[in-house]
Amino acid sequence: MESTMTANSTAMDDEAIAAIRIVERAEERYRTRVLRLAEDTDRMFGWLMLGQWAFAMLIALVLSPPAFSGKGGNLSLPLAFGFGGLLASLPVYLAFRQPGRPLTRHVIAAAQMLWSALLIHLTGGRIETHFHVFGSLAFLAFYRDWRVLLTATLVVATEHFLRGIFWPESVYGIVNPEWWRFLEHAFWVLFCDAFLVWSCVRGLQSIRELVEHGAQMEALAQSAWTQIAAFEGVKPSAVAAAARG
Amino acid sequence: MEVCGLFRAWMRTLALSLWIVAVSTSVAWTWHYKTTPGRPSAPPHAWPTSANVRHSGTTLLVALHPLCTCSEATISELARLMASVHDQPTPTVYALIYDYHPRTSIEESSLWRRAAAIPGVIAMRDADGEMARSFGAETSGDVIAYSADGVLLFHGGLTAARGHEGDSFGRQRLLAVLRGNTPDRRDSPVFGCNMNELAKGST
Repeated sequence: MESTMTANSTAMDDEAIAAIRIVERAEERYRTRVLRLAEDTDRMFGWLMLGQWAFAMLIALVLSPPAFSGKGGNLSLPLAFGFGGLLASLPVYLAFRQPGRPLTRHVIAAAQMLWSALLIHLTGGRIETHFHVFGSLAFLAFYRDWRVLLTATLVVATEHFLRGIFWPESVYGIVNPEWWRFLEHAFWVLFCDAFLVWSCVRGLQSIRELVEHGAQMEALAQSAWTQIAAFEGVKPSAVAAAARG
Repeated sequence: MEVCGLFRAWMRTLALSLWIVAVSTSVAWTWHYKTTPGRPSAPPHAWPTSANVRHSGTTLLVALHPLCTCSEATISELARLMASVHDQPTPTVYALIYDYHPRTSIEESSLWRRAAAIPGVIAMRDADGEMARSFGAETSGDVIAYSADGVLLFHGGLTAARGHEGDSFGRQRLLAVLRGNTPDRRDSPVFGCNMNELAKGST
Protein backbone atom coordinates (compact mmCIF):
# COMPACT_ATOMS: atom_id res chain seq x y z
CA MET A 1 0.00 0.00 0.00
CA GLU A 2 2.75 2.39 1.08
CA SER A 3 4.92 1.44 -1.89
CA THR A 4 1.99 2.12 -4.28
CA MET A 5 1.51 5.58 -2.73
CA THR A 6 5.23 6.30 -3.03
CA ALA A 7 5.19 5.22 -6.69
CA ASN A 8 2.15 7.45 -7.39
CA SER A 9 3.83 10.35 -5.61
CA THR A 10 7.02 9.89 -7.66
CA ALA A 11 5.01 9.77 -10.87
CA MET A 12 3.21 13.02 -9.92
CA ASP A 13 6.54 14.69 -9.10
CA ASP A 14 7.89 13.61 -12.49
CA GLU A 15 4.83 15.05 -14.22
CA ALA A 16 5.18 18.33 -12.30
CA ILE A 17 8.88 18.57 -13.16
CA ALA A 18 8.10 17.78 -16.79
CA ALA A 19 5.43 20.51 -16.83
CA ILE A 20 7.83 23.03 -15.28
CA ARG A 21 10.44 22.13 -17.88
CA ILE A 22 7.91 22.64 -20.67
CA VAL A 23 7.03 26.07 -19.30
CA GLU A 24 10.69 27.03 -18.85
CA ARG A 25 11.64 25.86 -22.34
CA ALA A 26 8.68 27.70 -23.85
CA GLU A 27 9.53 30.88 -21.95
CA GLU A 28 13.18 30.73 -23.02
CA ARG A 29 12.25 30.23 -26.66
CA TYR A 30 9.65 32.99 -26.48
CA ARG A 31 12.26 35.44 -25.18
CA THR A 32 14.78 34.35 -27.80
CA ARG A 33 12.28 34.76 -30.65
CA VAL A 34 11.07 38.15 -29.45
CA LEU A 35 14.68 39.32 -29.02
CA ARG A 36 15.61 38.09 -32.51
CA LEU A 37 12.55 39.84 -33.92
CA ALA A 38 13.61 43.10 -32.22
CA GLU A 39 17.21 42.74 -33.43
CA ASP A 40 16.13 42.07 -37.03
CA THR A 41 13.69 45.00 -36.94
CA ASP A 42 16.37 47.29 -35.46
CA ARG A 43 18.74 46.41 -38.31
CA MET A 44 15.96 46.94 -40.85
CA PHE A 45 15.37 50.41 -39.43
CA GLY A 46 19.13 51.05 -39.43
CA TRP A 47 19.17 50.54 -43.19
CA LEU A 48 15.91 52.45 -43.56
CA MET A 49 17.43 55.45 -41.75
CA LEU A 50 20.38 55.45 -44.14
CA GLY A 51 18.00 55.05 -47.10
CA GLN A 52 15.86 57.96 -45.91
CA TRP A 53 18.95 60.11 -45.50
CA ALA A 54 20.00 59.40 -49.10
CA PHE A 55 16.42 59.97 -50.27
CA ALA A 56 16.22 63.31 -48.43
CA MET A 57 19.39 64.50 -50.16
CA LEU A 58 18.04 63.30 -53.49
CA ILE A 59 14.83 65.27 -52.93
CA ALA A 60 16.87 68.34 -51.99
CA LEU A 61 18.93 68.00 -55.16
CA VAL A 62 16.23 67.05 -57.64
CA LEU A 63 12.79 68.05 -56.43
CA SER A 64 13.35 71.17 -54.40
CA PRO A 65 16.32 73.10 -55.69
CA PRO A 66 16.71 75.69 -54.35
CA ALA A 67 13.99 75.44 -51.72
CA PHE A 68 14.39 77.52 -48.58
CA SER A 69 16.46 79.95 -50.61
CA GLY A 70 16.62 82.97 -48.44
CA LYS A 71 19.50 84.88 -49.94
CA GLY A 72 20.23 83.04 -53.13
CA GLY A 73 21.58 79.96 -51.41
CA ASN A 74 20.05 76.51 -51.31
CA LEU A 75 19.29 75.53 -47.74
CA SER A 76 17.50 72.31 -48.69
CA LEU A 77 20.66 70.32 -49.19
CA PRO A 78 22.37 71.43 -45.94
CA LEU A 79 19.11 70.71 -44.13
CA ALA A 80 18.81 67.24 -45.68
CA PHE A 81 22.49 66.48 -45.09
CA GLY A 82 22.90 68.07 -41.64
CA PHE A 83 19.55 67.54 -39.99
CA GLY A 84 19.01 64.24 -41.81
CA GLY A 85 22.43 62.99 -40.77
CA LEU A 86 21.85 64.05 -37.18
CA LEU A 87 18.46 62.36 -37.16
CA ALA A 88 19.89 59.11 -38.52
CA SER A 89 23.12 59.10 -36.46
CA LEU A 90 22.05 57.74 -33.07
CA PRO A 91 19.39 55.30 -34.38
CA VAL A 92 21.87 53.83 -36.90
CA TYR A 93 24.56 53.47 -34.23
CA LEU A 94 22.16 51.80 -31.81
CA ALA A 95 20.57 49.61 -34.51
CA PHE A 96 23.90 48.06 -35.52
CA ARG A 97 25.79 48.21 -32.20
CA GLN A 98 23.04 47.55 -29.67
CA PRO A 99 20.19 45.81 -31.50
CA GLY A 100 17.38 44.34 -29.45
CA ARG A 101 17.61 46.77 -26.54
CA PRO A 102 14.41 48.65 -25.60
CA LEU A 103 16.22 52.02 -25.81
CA THR A 104 17.22 51.31 -29.42
CA ARG A 105 13.66 50.82 -30.64
CA HIS A 106 12.32 53.84 -28.75
CA VAL A 107 15.04 56.10 -30.22
CA ILE A 108 14.25 54.65 -33.66
CA ALA A 109 10.52 55.32 -33.16
CA ALA A 110 11.15 58.97 -32.22
CA ALA A 111 13.58 59.49 -35.11
CA GLN A 112 11.27 57.82 -37.62
CA MET A 113 8.43 60.23 -36.83
CA LEU A 114 10.78 63.20 -37.12
CA TRP A 115 11.90 61.82 -40.51
CA SER A 116 8.28 62.24 -41.60
CA ALA A 117 8.43 65.89 -40.54
CA LEU A 118 11.73 66.47 -42.38
CA LEU A 119 10.51 64.81 -45.59
CA ILE A 120 7.30 66.85 -45.44
CA HIS A 121 9.40 70.03 -45.20
CA LEU A 122 11.65 68.99 -48.06
CA THR A 123 8.74 68.20 -50.36
CA GLY A 124 7.07 71.54 -49.62
CA GLY A 125 4.36 70.18 -47.35
CA ARG A 126 2.90 67.94 -50.03
CA ILE A 127 -0.17 66.06 -48.82
CA GLU A 128 1.24 62.82 -50.29
CA THR A 129 4.31 62.95 -48.04
CA HIS A 130 2.06 62.87 -44.97
CA PHE A 131 1.45 59.18 -45.81
CA HIS A 132 4.99 58.61 -44.52
CA VAL A 133 3.68 59.08 -40.96
CA PHE A 134 1.21 56.22 -41.27
CA GLY A 135 3.61 53.99 -43.19
CA SER A 136 6.18 54.51 -40.43
CA LEU A 137 3.68 53.53 -37.74
CA ALA A 138 2.99 50.32 -39.65
CA PHE A 139 6.75 49.62 -39.90
CA LEU A 140 7.16 50.25 -36.16
CA ALA A 141 4.48 47.62 -35.50
CA PHE A 142 7.00 45.06 -36.81
CA TYR A 143 8.50 45.18 -33.30
CA ARG A 144 5.27 43.72 -31.85
CA ASP A 145 5.85 46.16 -28.97
CA TRP A 146 2.95 48.56 -28.44
CA ARG A 147 5.12 50.84 -26.26
CA VAL A 148 7.14 51.76 -29.35
CA LEU A 149 3.93 53.02 -30.98
CA LEU A 150 3.23 55.05 -27.85
CA THR A 151 6.64 56.76 -28.13
CA ALA A 152 6.03 57.51 -31.83
CA THR A 153 2.59 58.94 -31.10
CA LEU A 154 3.91 61.11 -28.27
CA VAL A 155 6.58 62.54 -30.58
CA VAL A 156 3.98 63.39 -33.27
CA ALA A 157 1.58 64.90 -30.72
CA THR A 158 4.34 66.91 -29.01
CA GLU A 159 5.66 68.26 -32.31
CA HIS A 160 2.15 69.32 -33.37
CA PHE A 161 1.37 70.74 -29.93
CA LEU A 162 4.53 72.87 -29.82
CA ARG A 163 4.13 73.99 -33.43
CA GLY A 164 0.50 74.84 -32.66
CA ILE A 165 1.70 77.10 -29.84
CA PHE A 166 4.70 78.75 -31.51
CA TRP A 167 3.92 78.54 -35.26
CA PRO A 168 0.18 77.85 -35.45
CA GLU A 169 -0.31 78.80 -39.07
CA SER A 170 2.24 76.30 -40.32
CA VAL A 171 0.30 73.38 -38.92
CA TYR A 172 -3.33 74.49 -38.89
CA GLY A 173 -3.40 77.15 -41.59
CA ILE A 174 -4.83 79.71 -39.17
CA VAL A 175 -3.22 81.97 -36.60
CA ASN A 176 -5.36 81.36 -33.52
CA PRO A 177 -6.39 77.72 -33.45
CA GLU A 178 -8.14 76.24 -30.45
CA TRP A 179 -5.60 74.72 -28.02
CA TRP A 180 -7.00 71.22 -28.62
CA ARG A 181 -6.48 71.29 -32.39
CA PHE A 182 -3.34 69.14 -32.04
CA LEU A 183 -5.63 66.37 -30.74
CA GLU A 184 -7.51 66.38 -34.04
CA HIS A 185 -4.29 65.55 -35.87
CA ALA A 186 -3.24 63.08 -33.19
CA PHE A 187 -6.65 61.39 -33.48
CA TRP A 188 -5.83 59.90 -36.88
CA VAL A 189 -2.54 58.63 -35.54
CA LEU A 190 -4.38 57.11 -32.55
CA PHE A 191 -6.97 55.61 -34.91
CA CYS A 192 -4.15 53.85 -36.76
CA ASP A 193 -2.46 52.95 -33.45
CA ALA A 194 -5.54 51.23 -32.09
CA PHE A 195 -5.40 48.55 -34.79
CA LEU A 196 -1.61 48.29 -34.77
CA VAL A 197 -1.51 47.83 -30.96
CA TRP A 198 -4.12 45.09 -31.29
CA SER A 199 -2.04 43.41 -34.02
CA CYS A 200 1.12 43.69 -31.81
CA VAL A 201 -0.62 42.00 -28.88
CA ARG A 202 -2.05 39.32 -31.17
CA GLY A 203 1.36 38.80 -32.77
CA LEU A 204 3.02 38.21 -29.40
CA GLN A 205 0.21 35.83 -28.39
CA SER A 206 0.77 33.86 -31.61
CA ILE A 207 4.50 33.58 -30.92
CA ARG A 208 3.80 32.40 -27.37
CA GLU A 209 1.26 29.82 -28.54
CA LEU A 210 3.72 28.59 -31.15
CA VAL A 211 6.63 28.10 -28.75
CA GLU A 212 4.37 26.51 -26.09
CA HIS A 213 3.01 24.09 -28.64
CA GLY A 214 6.56 23.26 -29.78
CA ALA A 215 7.74 22.66 -26.20
CA GLN A 216 4.74 20.39 -25.49
CA MET A 217 5.40 18.38 -28.63
CA GLU A 218 9.04 17.93 -27.66
CA ALA A 219 8.11 16.83 -24.13
CA LEU A 220 5.63 14.31 -25.55
CA ALA A 221 8.26 12.93 -27.92
CA GLN A 222 10.80 12.69 -25.10
CA SER A 223 8.31 10.84 -22.90
CA ALA A 224 7.54 8.40 -25.72
CA TRP A 225 11.26 7.79 -26.29
CA THR A 226 11.76 7.11 -22.56
CA GLN A 227 8.95 4.57 -22.54
CA ILE A 228 10.23 2.85 -25.69
CA ALA A 229 13.77 2.80 -24.26
CA ALA A 230 12.51 1.22 -21.04
CA PHE A 231 10.62 -1.38 -23.09
CA GLU A 232 13.56 -2.12 -25.39
CA GLY A 233 16.17 -1.88 -22.62
CA VAL A 234 18.28 0.76 -24.36
CA LYS A 235 19.16 4.39 -23.60
CA PRO A 236 16.48 7.01 -24.48
CA SER A 237 19.07 8.94 -26.50
CA ALA A 238 19.53 5.90 -28.77
CA VAL A 239 15.78 5.79 -29.43
CA ALA A 240 15.76 9.53 -30.16
CA ALA A 241 18.67 9.14 -32.58
CA ALA A 242 16.91 6.24 -34.31
CA ALA A 243 13.70 8.31 -34.55
CA ARG A 244 15.62 11.14 -36.22
CA GLY A 245 16.94 8.64 -38.76
CA MET B 1 34.13 46.47 -13.44
CA GLU B 2 31.23 48.28 -11.76
CA VAL B 3 32.87 51.67 -12.39
CA CYS B 4 33.25 50.76 -16.06
CA GLY B 5 29.54 49.88 -16.26
CA LEU B 6 28.57 53.13 -14.57
CA PHE B 7 30.81 55.11 -16.94
CA ARG B 8 29.18 53.44 -19.95
CA ALA B 9 25.69 54.16 -18.62
CA TRP B 10 26.68 57.77 -18.01
CA MET B 11 28.12 58.09 -21.54
CA ARG B 12 24.96 56.57 -22.99
CA THR B 13 22.77 59.03 -21.11
CA LEU B 14 24.99 61.92 -22.21
CA ALA B 15 24.91 60.84 -25.87
CA LEU B 16 21.14 60.43 -25.77
CA SER B 17 20.66 63.83 -24.10
CA LEU B 18 22.94 65.56 -26.62
CA TRP B 19 21.10 63.91 -29.51
CA ILE B 20 17.69 64.99 -28.14
CA VAL B 21 18.90 68.58 -27.63
CA ALA B 22 20.49 68.74 -31.12
CA VAL B 23 17.43 67.26 -32.85
CA SER B 24 15.01 69.53 -30.94
CA THR B 25 17.11 72.58 -31.79
CA SER B 26 17.19 71.61 -35.48
CA VAL B 27 13.41 71.12 -35.56
CA ALA B 28 12.85 74.47 -33.83
CA TRP B 29 15.30 76.27 -36.14
CA THR B 30 13.67 74.78 -39.24
CA TRP B 31 10.22 75.87 -38.15
CA HIS B 32 11.41 79.30 -37.12
CA TYR B 33 13.05 79.73 -40.53
CA LYS B 34 10.05 78.43 -42.44
CA THR B 35 7.57 80.65 -40.62
CA THR B 36 9.51 83.90 -40.76
CA PRO B 37 7.69 86.00 -43.36
CA GLY B 38 9.33 88.11 -46.01
CA ARG B 39 9.06 91.88 -46.23
CA PRO B 40 5.37 92.82 -46.68
CA SER B 41 4.43 94.45 -49.96
CA ALA B 42 3.27 98.06 -50.17
CA PRO B 43 1.06 98.12 -53.26
CA PRO B 44 -0.68 101.31 -54.45
CA HIS B 45 -4.27 101.60 -53.23
CA ALA B 46 -5.46 102.15 -56.78
CA TRP B 47 -4.33 100.44 -59.99
CA PRO B 48 -1.32 102.47 -61.21
CA THR B 49 -1.94 104.00 -64.62
CA SER B 50 1.74 103.54 -65.46
CA ALA B 51 1.55 99.75 -65.03
CA ASN B 52 2.68 97.63 -67.97
CA VAL B 53 -0.08 95.12 -67.24
CA ARG B 54 -3.57 95.43 -68.65
CA HIS B 55 -6.24 95.81 -65.99
CA SER B 56 -9.31 93.79 -66.90
CA GLY B 57 -12.06 93.10 -64.39
CA THR B 58 -10.92 91.74 -61.04
CA THR B 59 -7.18 91.40 -61.58
CA LEU B 60 -4.66 89.39 -59.61
CA LEU B 61 -0.89 89.75 -59.84
CA VAL B 62 1.32 86.98 -58.48
CA ALA B 63 5.02 87.82 -58.16
CA LEU B 64 7.20 84.72 -58.51
CA HIS B 65 10.91 84.02 -58.73
CA PRO B 66 11.98 80.76 -60.46
CA LEU B 67 14.95 80.28 -58.11
CA CYS B 68 12.72 80.16 -55.04
CA THR B 69 10.77 76.95 -54.52
CA CYS B 70 8.51 78.76 -52.13
CA SER B 71 7.11 79.85 -55.53
CA GLU B 72 6.23 76.24 -56.34
CA ALA B 73 4.03 76.00 -53.24
CA THR B 74 2.38 79.32 -54.19
CA ILE B 75 1.62 77.94 -57.67
CA SER B 76 0.02 74.85 -56.09
CA GLU B 77 -2.11 77.07 -53.85
CA LEU B 78 -2.99 79.34 -56.77
CA ALA B 79 -4.20 76.27 -58.70
CA ARG B 80 -6.39 75.29 -55.73
CA LEU B 81 -7.69 78.85 -55.47
CA MET B 82 -8.60 78.97 -59.17
CA ALA B 83 -10.37 75.62 -58.88
CA SER B 84 -12.36 77.00 -55.92
CA VAL B 85 -13.62 80.02 -57.87
CA HIS B 86 -14.49 78.26 -61.12
CA ASP B 87 -18.19 79.00 -60.46
CA GLN B 88 -17.51 82.73 -59.91
CA PRO B 89 -16.75 85.43 -62.51
CA THR B 90 -13.19 84.46 -63.49
CA PRO B 91 -10.60 87.03 -62.39
CA THR B 92 -7.72 87.96 -64.67
CA VAL B 93 -4.60 86.43 -63.14
CA TYR B 94 -1.07 87.38 -64.17
CA ALA B 95 1.82 85.27 -62.91
CA LEU B 96 4.75 87.66 -63.10
CA ILE B 97 7.76 85.37 -63.50
CA TYR B 98 10.95 87.18 -62.54
CA ASP B 99 13.36 87.04 -65.47
CA TYR B 100 16.87 87.01 -64.03
CA HIS B 101 18.29 86.29 -67.49
CA PRO B 102 19.32 82.65 -67.07
CA ARG B 103 21.13 80.78 -69.87
CA THR B 104 17.91 79.09 -70.97
CA SER B 105 14.78 81.12 -71.57
CA ILE B 106 12.60 81.75 -68.52
CA GLU B 107 9.66 80.35 -70.53
CA GLU B 108 11.32 76.93 -70.25
CA SER B 109 11.41 76.93 -66.45
CA SER B 110 9.13 74.50 -64.63
CA LEU B 111 7.60 77.43 -62.76
CA TRP B 112 6.50 79.06 -66.03
CA ARG B 113 5.05 75.81 -67.33
CA ARG B 114 3.17 75.13 -64.10
CA ALA B 115 1.79 78.68 -63.94
CA ALA B 116 0.74 78.68 -67.60
CA ALA B 117 -0.98 75.31 -67.16
CA ILE B 118 -3.46 76.67 -64.59
CA PRO B 119 -6.74 77.57 -66.35
CA GLY B 120 -7.25 81.34 -66.29
CA VAL B 121 -3.64 82.19 -65.41
CA ILE B 122 -1.46 84.17 -67.82
CA ALA B 123 2.28 83.72 -67.31
CA MET B 124 4.23 86.93 -67.99
CA ARG B 125 7.94 87.56 -68.27
CA ASP B 126 8.95 90.19 -65.72
CA ALA B 127 12.41 91.45 -66.70
CA ASP B 128 14.45 92.03 -63.50
CA GLY B 129 11.21 92.17 -61.53
CA GLU B 130 10.28 95.65 -62.81
CA MET B 131 6.55 94.98 -62.91
CA ALA B 132 6.46 93.35 -59.47
CA ARG B 133 8.43 96.29 -58.10
CA SER B 134 5.96 98.78 -59.58
CA PHE B 135 3.27 97.07 -57.49
CA GLY B 136 5.46 97.14 -54.37
CA ALA B 137 6.09 93.36 -54.32
CA GLU B 138 9.51 92.26 -53.07
CA THR B 139 8.88 88.72 -51.90
CA SER B 140 8.28 85.76 -54.17
CA GLY B 141 4.75 84.48 -53.65
CA ASP B 142 3.20 87.90 -53.09
CA VAL B 143 -0.34 88.17 -54.48
CA ILE B 144 -1.96 91.55 -55.14
CA ALA B 145 -5.64 91.76 -56.06
CA TYR B 146 -7.50 94.74 -57.54
CA SER B 147 -11.23 95.10 -58.08
CA ALA B 148 -12.80 95.73 -61.50
CA ASP B 149 -12.76 99.47 -60.73
CA GLY B 150 -9.07 99.40 -59.77
CA VAL B 151 -9.30 99.43 -55.96
CA LEU B 152 -6.84 97.35 -53.95
CA LEU B 153 -8.68 94.35 -52.51
CA PHE B 154 -5.98 92.18 -51.01
CA HIS B 155 -2.22 91.70 -50.79
CA GLY B 156 -0.20 88.91 -49.22
CA GLY B 157 0.88 85.29 -49.55
CA LEU B 158 -1.11 82.13 -50.15
CA THR B 159 1.02 79.70 -48.16
CA ALA B 160 1.20 79.00 -44.43
CA ALA B 161 5.02 78.76 -44.31
CA ARG B 162 8.00 78.95 -46.66
CA GLY B 163 7.52 76.45 -49.46
CA HIS B 164 4.71 74.75 -47.58
CA GLU B 165 1.46 73.73 -49.23
CA GLY B 166 -1.77 73.47 -47.28
CA ASP B 167 -4.51 75.65 -45.85
CA SER B 168 -3.57 79.22 -45.08
CA PHE B 169 -5.55 82.19 -43.99
CA GLY B 170 -4.06 84.16 -46.91
CA ARG B 171 -5.82 81.84 -49.35
CA GLN B 172 -9.01 81.90 -47.25
CA ARG B 173 -9.06 85.71 -47.24
CA LEU B 174 -8.40 86.02 -50.97
CA LEU B 175 -11.07 83.43 -51.64
CA ALA B 176 -13.53 85.45 -49.55
CA VAL B 177 -12.63 88.58 -51.55
CA LEU B 178 -13.12 86.81 -54.90
CA ARG B 179 -16.48 85.45 -53.76
CA GLY B 180 -17.61 88.97 -52.88
CA ASN B 181 -17.50 88.39 -49.12
CA THR B 182 -15.76 90.56 -46.56
CA PRO B 183 -12.67 88.90 -45.03
CA ASP B 184 -11.47 89.64 -41.48
CA ARG B 185 -8.34 91.22 -42.97
CA ARG B 186 -7.22 92.17 -46.47
CA ASP B 187 -3.60 91.13 -46.11
CA SER B 188 -1.49 88.18 -45.04
CA PRO B 189 2.21 87.51 -44.46
CA VAL B 190 4.22 86.36 -47.48
CA PHE B 191 6.43 83.34 -46.87
CA GLY B 192 9.01 83.42 -49.63
CA CYS B 193 12.41 84.57 -50.77
CA ASN B 194 13.34 88.19 -51.23
CA MET B 195 13.49 88.57 -55.03
CA ASN B 196 16.02 91.40 -55.02
CA GLU B 197 18.44 89.44 -52.83
CA LEU B 198 17.94 86.38 -55.05
CA ALA B 199 18.76 88.51 -58.06
CA LYS B 200 22.00 89.67 -56.40
CA GLY B 201 22.90 86.05 -55.64
CA SER B 202 22.19 84.86 -59.16
CA THR B 203 24.28 87.44 -60.94
